[in-house]
Amino acid sequence: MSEKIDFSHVRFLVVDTNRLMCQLVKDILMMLGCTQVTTARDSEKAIANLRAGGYDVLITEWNLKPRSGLELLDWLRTDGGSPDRMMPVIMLTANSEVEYVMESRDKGVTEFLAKPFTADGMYRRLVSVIARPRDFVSVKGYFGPDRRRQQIPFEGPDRRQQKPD
Amino acid sequence: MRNKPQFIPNRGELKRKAVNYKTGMEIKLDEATLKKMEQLVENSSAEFLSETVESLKGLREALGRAATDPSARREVLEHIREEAFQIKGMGGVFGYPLLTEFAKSLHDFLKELEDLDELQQEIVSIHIDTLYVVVSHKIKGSGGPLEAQLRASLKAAVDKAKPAAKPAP
Repeated sequence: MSEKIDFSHVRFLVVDTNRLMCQLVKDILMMLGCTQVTTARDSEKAIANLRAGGYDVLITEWNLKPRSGLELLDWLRTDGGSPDRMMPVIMLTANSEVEYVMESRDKGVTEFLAKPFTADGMYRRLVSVIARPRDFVSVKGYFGPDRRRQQIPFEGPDRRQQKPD
Repeated sequence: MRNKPQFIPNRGELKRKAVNYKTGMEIKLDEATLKKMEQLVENSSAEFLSETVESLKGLREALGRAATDPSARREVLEHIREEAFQIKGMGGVFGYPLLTEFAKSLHDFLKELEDLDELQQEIVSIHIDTLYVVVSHKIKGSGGPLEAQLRASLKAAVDKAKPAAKPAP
């Protein structure tokens, strides 16, 4: 039997200033079986929604007003009023340059998806944040998912399995 | 917050809620679902194009305002920057990578600007015209001769606005 993913009980908040983009992401989520998708067009509305509770995953654009998507992420991760500091966050943004990826990562983003995105890319990020949850790290200046994800193949002998001399 | 990292195990509640062996879809995305997702995007493509036409019309009007009223330039600059950002993000999603490329060129050009002088207005205008061509011809590819021609004319325009390189001492 293979692992399945059932999106029907996962509650999403999608934040983007662009109406068509909000609608497209919502349509994709509904097509995948989601039943609870809320959209917001600015960060204050998003915060009000998050405060009210009832969300499992936040998908946000960086380019928001009055607070940016990055500030929204920071609020969620560090503010005392945050409803869930460990909520998975997908940064879905046209700020696609590498410095934005690094900055998002340093603020505790769970996944980064650059626009323009593909359907496959979107699906992979969704599966990653739901089915492959990461532990969190709290250290001075950072609260967010453990950023150590790189798997470097090593071809030498694995000395960790050897008994000490 | 502390100096020594504290590791907080993920409670895995979301995974328990959604991942199982009975209901839902295969975790590995199958062809049929991918096709459905792509079809959804395709269905919104016409709406995207008509919104882009409206957006470009708005940019053309805004540019006209900036030309006649210098006090409106900053506001116009913000407006154009925002629209360029939106087209940059959306074009490729709906199968128009050239829209993304040219809108990115416009957005990059405007990134550091605080005002729109006449030459800069001209560069913006050329970008708008080029974006129009892509929309009106519904150019979906990015590698043909027309695409290359558009790309070259845009690059020439942007280069015109760059400060001349200082001669070597």
